[in-house]
Amino acid sequence: MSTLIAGTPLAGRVAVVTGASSGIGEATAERFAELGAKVALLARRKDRLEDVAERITSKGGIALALPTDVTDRAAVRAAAERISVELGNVDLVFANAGVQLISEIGDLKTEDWDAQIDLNIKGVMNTIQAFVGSLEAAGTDGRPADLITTSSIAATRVLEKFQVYSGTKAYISHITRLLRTELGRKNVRVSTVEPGMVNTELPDHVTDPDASKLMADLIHQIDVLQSADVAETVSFVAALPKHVNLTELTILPTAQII
Amino acid sequence: MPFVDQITLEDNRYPLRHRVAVITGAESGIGAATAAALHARGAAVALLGLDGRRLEEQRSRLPGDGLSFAAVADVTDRQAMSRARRQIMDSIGVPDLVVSNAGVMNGGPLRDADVHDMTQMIEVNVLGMLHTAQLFLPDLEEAAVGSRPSDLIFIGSIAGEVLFPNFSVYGASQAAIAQLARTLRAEIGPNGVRVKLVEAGVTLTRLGKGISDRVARRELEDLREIDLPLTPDEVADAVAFAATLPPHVNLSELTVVPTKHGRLGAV
Ligand SMILES: NC(=O)c1ccc[n+]([C@@H]2O[C@H](COP(=O)([O-])OP(=O)(O)OC[C@H]3O[C@@H](n4cnc5c(N)ncnc54)[C@H](OP(=O)(O)O)[C@@H]3O)[C@@H](O)[C@H]2O)c1
Repeated sequence: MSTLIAGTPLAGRVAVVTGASSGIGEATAERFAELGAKVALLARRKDRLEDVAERITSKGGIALALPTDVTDRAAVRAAAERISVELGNVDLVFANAGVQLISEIGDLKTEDWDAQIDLNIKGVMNTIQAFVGSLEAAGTDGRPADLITTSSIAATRVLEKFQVYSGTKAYISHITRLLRTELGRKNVRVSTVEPGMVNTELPDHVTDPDASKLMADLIHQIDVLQSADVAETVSFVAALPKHVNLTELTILPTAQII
Repeated sequence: MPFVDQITLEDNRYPLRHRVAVITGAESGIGAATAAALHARGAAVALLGLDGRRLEEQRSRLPGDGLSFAAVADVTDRQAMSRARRQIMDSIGVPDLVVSNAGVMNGGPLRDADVHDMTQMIEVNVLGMLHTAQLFLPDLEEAAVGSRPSDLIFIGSIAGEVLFPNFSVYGASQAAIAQLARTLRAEIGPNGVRVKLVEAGVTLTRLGKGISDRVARRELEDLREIDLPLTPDEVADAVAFAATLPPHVNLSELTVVPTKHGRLGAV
């Protein structure tokens, strides 16, 4: 992906990216940094986060690796405190960490249900609770402020066996509309990105053979999205003039039908 | 500067060079701004619309020496559109980026609505978009061969999603556009044509200037009175960004609203 955004439109911004150790989050954190933002990196894998931070700093950027399980509310709050001390007031939040686990409802894989609800819904709410105050403060000060989430096309599609994952993403898409009603007037932009198939580690966690095949076939047969494609688009959203809110975006591989 | 470096520079500044764009409703508002944004990024542009003088005025304002063309063509007139298509091919080339933008908005309680106004909204907003899409589809599919970028972009409205009482016909026409865009995306995406739906929130244009119903006019004015509504240029920037993404990436739906308009419509 050749980059489309020029200069450093995110200079002066302090960003937090959850799920920054791989895939979409990693690429977006790196792009935010290239575009001038200081970036806090959250995910569980410390070594991976440190690699990302290292790459950012070697290119002259500023990054802070904070190994954090975002399903742990207190841990996210503690991370927020460290960020505000070390990087400043957060004004750009990319709540992106998520997991996709596919099974038939009758299989009662309740642990998988919980894992998705805990990360995709509660993890995002934990991220919001830790940073919404900082975003509101930025908006009230007349600075740009963004809450951007990663939903999925699963939020609107009807895919067999994707019930819990799709439900968690529908929650994310709809709460975007709801949060706008409260945060818009405070000058906080709320956006959600619904990607189609992106080549990341996401499918690696899937154990259902049909779903694995569906995703493997897509990756094999069509030119799917790369994380950098999504990163450029998310960065565009954040770099727009502060009264322009690109609030809902669907980004798909051109050839993907679903 | 070595030749190769020059190419990179051109790529960055004019990412849409070699593209041939057609924009309907290009004499003002989002259409005119989109023509300018695409042209500024290097595309040859054809401006279609109803008012020849204003089209020519917009066309002559485009800076630089890039290709441009303007023609009067009513999107509801299949023959005129077909003629315009041939003229575009003769003057600037085969279109690979079509922005179906022409639209009209009227308002007022349905009970009192003028039949002519109702019909016009459906004819321009729905049938006009269908004619535009169908006429240029062969060109777009041809352009997409060999994984080259090819775009069919529908400019719709948030009125297709949220409810604005007194704007039922307009809202219905916008919902039709949305479903047309989504369905076509699945239909021709596999052929490489990137069908996109842009749903714009309150943008300062001439849209709705002819509304005669006092209540509907008042409602529209109230919506536009927020501090910092969108300008057509801002919507156009989003359209241009989407068109500039690599061919395998389709930013297939995007909703752009003024930040302050958190809550809109009745629901
Ligand atoms: N790939 C796609 O096709 C696609 C399509 C639509 C939507 N999405 C969404 O995109 C988002 C990013 O996914 P991806 O595709 O980039 O997949 P990925 O490569 O698997 O990345 C997921 C990220 O989430 C982090 N994470 C997992 N559990 C966590 C926890 N408890 N606390 C903190 N971080 C945690 C992971 O890091 P650690 O393991 O180090 O914690 C990793 O950085 C997800 O929300 C996903 O649902 C992906």
